[in-house]
This record gives sequence, structure tokens and C-alpha cells, in this order.
Amino acid sequence: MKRSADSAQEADDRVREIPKWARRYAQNRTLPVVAMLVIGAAAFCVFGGLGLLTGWAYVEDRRVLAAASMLVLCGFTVWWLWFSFIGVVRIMRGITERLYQGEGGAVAGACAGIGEHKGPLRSITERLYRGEGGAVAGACAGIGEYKGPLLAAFLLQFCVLASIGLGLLGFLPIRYMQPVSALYAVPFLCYLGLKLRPVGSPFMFLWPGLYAIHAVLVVTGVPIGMGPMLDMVVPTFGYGLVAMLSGHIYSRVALRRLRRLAASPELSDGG
Amino acid sequence: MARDTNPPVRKAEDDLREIPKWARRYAQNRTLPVVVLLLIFAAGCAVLGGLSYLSVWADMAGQRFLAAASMVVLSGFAIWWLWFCLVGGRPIMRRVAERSYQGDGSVSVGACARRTRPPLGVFDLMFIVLVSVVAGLLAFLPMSVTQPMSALYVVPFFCYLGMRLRRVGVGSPFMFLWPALYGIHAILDVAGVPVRFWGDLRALDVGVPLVGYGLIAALAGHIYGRVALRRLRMLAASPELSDGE
Repeated sequence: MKRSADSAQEADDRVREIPKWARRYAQNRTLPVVAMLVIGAAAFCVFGGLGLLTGWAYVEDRRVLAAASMLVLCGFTVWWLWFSFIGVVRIMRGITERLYQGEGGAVAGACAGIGEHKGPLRSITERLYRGEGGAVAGACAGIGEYKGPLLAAFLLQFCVLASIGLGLLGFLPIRYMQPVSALYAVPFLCYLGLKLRPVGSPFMFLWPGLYAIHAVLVVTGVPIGMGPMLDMVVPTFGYGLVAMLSGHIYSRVALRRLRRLAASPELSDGG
Repeated sequence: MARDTNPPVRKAEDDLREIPKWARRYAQNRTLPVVVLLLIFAAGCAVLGGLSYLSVWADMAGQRFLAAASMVVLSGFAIWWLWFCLVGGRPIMRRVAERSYQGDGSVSVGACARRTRPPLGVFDLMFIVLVSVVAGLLAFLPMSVTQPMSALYVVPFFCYLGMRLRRVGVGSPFMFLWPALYGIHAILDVAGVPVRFWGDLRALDVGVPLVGYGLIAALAGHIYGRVALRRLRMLAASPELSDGE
């Protein structure tokens, strides 16, 4: 009798654990952000490389090479614009379908409050996790409020533009660009993390955390400089990748735990 | 059915047939928002150009505080411009259109245009503009041929845009004046007629024809819209139609 009461208690506990792990799993489906970051980093490299090549060829008076690389650079710029506004959904769908083709299809759950609008990130998320079905992490009615994040994004762009302009005019030494950028990037990423909190991964806060630590280390003179170009790119994309991959790994742990809970004999007996 | 031979009745029938024609003409020529948009575009370009010029001049003249201040203002304006183009411009332009024609009431022509993606032609235009600007900067293209060269892609693009708008039933036919005048300007320039700016004002070689001819076309459309509205009101108030009621 006592043994059956214990087993019922254990089944109760397991049932209570399920929504907790389901929420943790849903919050940490960060693979789409990883994909976006990798594409962003690759595009940055292509832009930088083509810009450098055009400038070098022009200075070295290799006019045909300068003209050719300039044409490719312009083409890539316009392709990037097309990709950002139109192509991102289509291309990401193709990539992720191939990545997850072995997992079969499933319908992702709709998130209340997002409304009819289905942005690229949401489509990518649905595709990436189609084999695992849908998951809704908490209430996400707040996502419908785009005004705040939009304003923050424009403010961030202003800070980026102003710091680049001041850097070009020689007001900001190039080695302090990363610490100066931390002054606006860290609050922006924290704000974004807080705004996404009901649905976003808590591991996202690793990103501003690591970025700020990097800035403090640069200011205190720790030799972690990698050259003028990489000083900004590596911390921005690198720490983002670290944070998002941590979230992804945690989601795998949560999914395994969830499957174990769902398949436990106590629950099966109860069912 | 035989046509009525009674002159007043026949006139009333003709007037009735004229009403949808003039209503469509009026609706197609409500071009005041284009005028406003062109003025905003010209003002935006002037502010961006002026601030860039000021930043560089102040930096070269050693006025570091002024250079930094103008750079910060330039960054702020660039971001506002981006916001206006991507987010804020649409509701502002809608309000402008509503206010411009609030006395005339509302009108619609043909099928209601649904929200679509930007046509691929826009990206083609962006590519060519970018190439010609960078080619100019790298001195592959002399400044003197900037306007005629730009006409090679601006004219087809505006014709394409005009036809695309005409196909969905909107867009004034007067807007075709824009590429036509721009093309004529380019031909005159190539033929040696002095239509070019000189000295420091060379940068206006493309901007002034682009905005100027656009304004002429849109204002011509607006004037024709007024004519069409007057004709429409006259038709609606004609005694033959009133008697018919």
C-alpha cells in the first residue's frame, strides 16, 4: 500500500516536471540565431575582403581587377539587401530542410499574440525544429509590441554609425573601438534579452556578459587584441555563437530529460 | 435597344457615360503625395550632403569640435532617414495624402493594390546606381557623363515603374513625362547644350534633373487632376442629369 502511494507521488512529481522541462526546451531552441550569426559573419568577411581587394587593386593601379572586384562588391551588396528583405526565409528554409530532413515533419505551435505576421526568424525556427513538433514557452503576447525593440535597434544603429564616423575622424583610437562599442552593445543586448525573456533563452545573457568582460580586459591592458578588423568581429559573432550554442546544448539536455519523463513507467502506468 | 433621339435625353446619357471616365482620370492624377515625397527626398539629400560636406571641411580645417558635432548630427540624421524610409514614411505619406485631398473625398481606381514585395527591378536599379557611384569614385567614369550615363538606367526604370502602376489601374500617365524629360536632358547634354552645372555645383548634375523633372511631371498630373475634378463636378451638376433623377 505504502509502495503504491510512493509510486503515485513519484508519478505526480514527474508530471509536474514535464511543463518545467518543456518550457526550458522551448526557450533554448537557439539554432536559428546560430544560423543567422554564421551567415552574418560570412557576409561581413565577404564585404571586408572585396572592399580590401578593390582598394588594394586601385592603389596598385590594377584597373581591370579594381573594376571587376568593384562590380562583384556592388552585386554582393545588392544581393545582401535582397537576402535581408526577401530571400532570407526561402534560403534558410532550403538549408534547414536539408539539415533536418531525417526527422520528418511536424506542425509547430502558433504563438498567441504574434498575429498574422510571420517573420523570417519564426519561419526558420519552425523549419529547424519541425521534427520535434511545436513548443510554446510561456505567454508571448508582448512580442506584438514591436515599438520598443525597433526604437532600440535604431538607437543602436545610430551609436554604431556615430562611433564609426568618430573613429574615421580620429576621435576614437581603433584599439578602443571594442570597449566603446560595449557601452551601447551591452545595454542593447541586455534589453533585448529582457524583452524576449518569456520566450528567449536565458543563455542569451552570456552574450553581453562575455562582450563586457572582453571590453574590461582590453581597457585594463590584457593583450587580447587580434588586429583592427577582428577586434570587433570576433567578440561580436564569437560570443554570440558561444551563447547560442550553449542554449542549443541545454535544449538537447532538456529534450532528453523530457523524453525520459514522458516514457517513464510510472507515467505509462498512470496513463 | 435603339438610341434615344431626344437631344436632352441623349445628352444626359452621354454625360452619364462621361462620369466614370473623368472619375478615373481624376483618381489617377492625385499626384500631390508624389510632389511632397520628392520635396522630402530633395530636402533629405540636401541635409545629408550638407552635413557630410561640413564634417569633412571642419576636419580638414582642424576644427575638431565642429567635425565631431556634425558627424554625430549626420549619424542621427542618417538613422532618422533610414527610419523614415523603412518604418515612419508610410503613415506620414498616408496622412499627407489624406490632408491634401480631404476636401475632395476618397476615390479608388481598379483593383485595390495589395501589399507586395518590391519588384526585382528595384534591386537591379540599386545595383546599377551603386556601380555607377563607385565607378565615379574610382574615376572610371568622368563626372561630366554622370547624368547621361544615369539616364541609361533611370529612363527604362521609370518607364517600367509607370507601366507597372498603369497595369494595376493607378499611376498618372503624366508620370511618363519624368523619364522623357530626363532622357531629353541627357541627349542635350551629350549634344553639347550647356545644361550642366559647373564647379562645386557639379554634384547637382543628377539631383536637380531627377527631382526637378519629377516635380514637373507630378505637378502636371495634379493640375490635370484638378481639371478632371472640375469636369466631374460639372457633369454631376448638369441640369440634364438632375432632371433625370
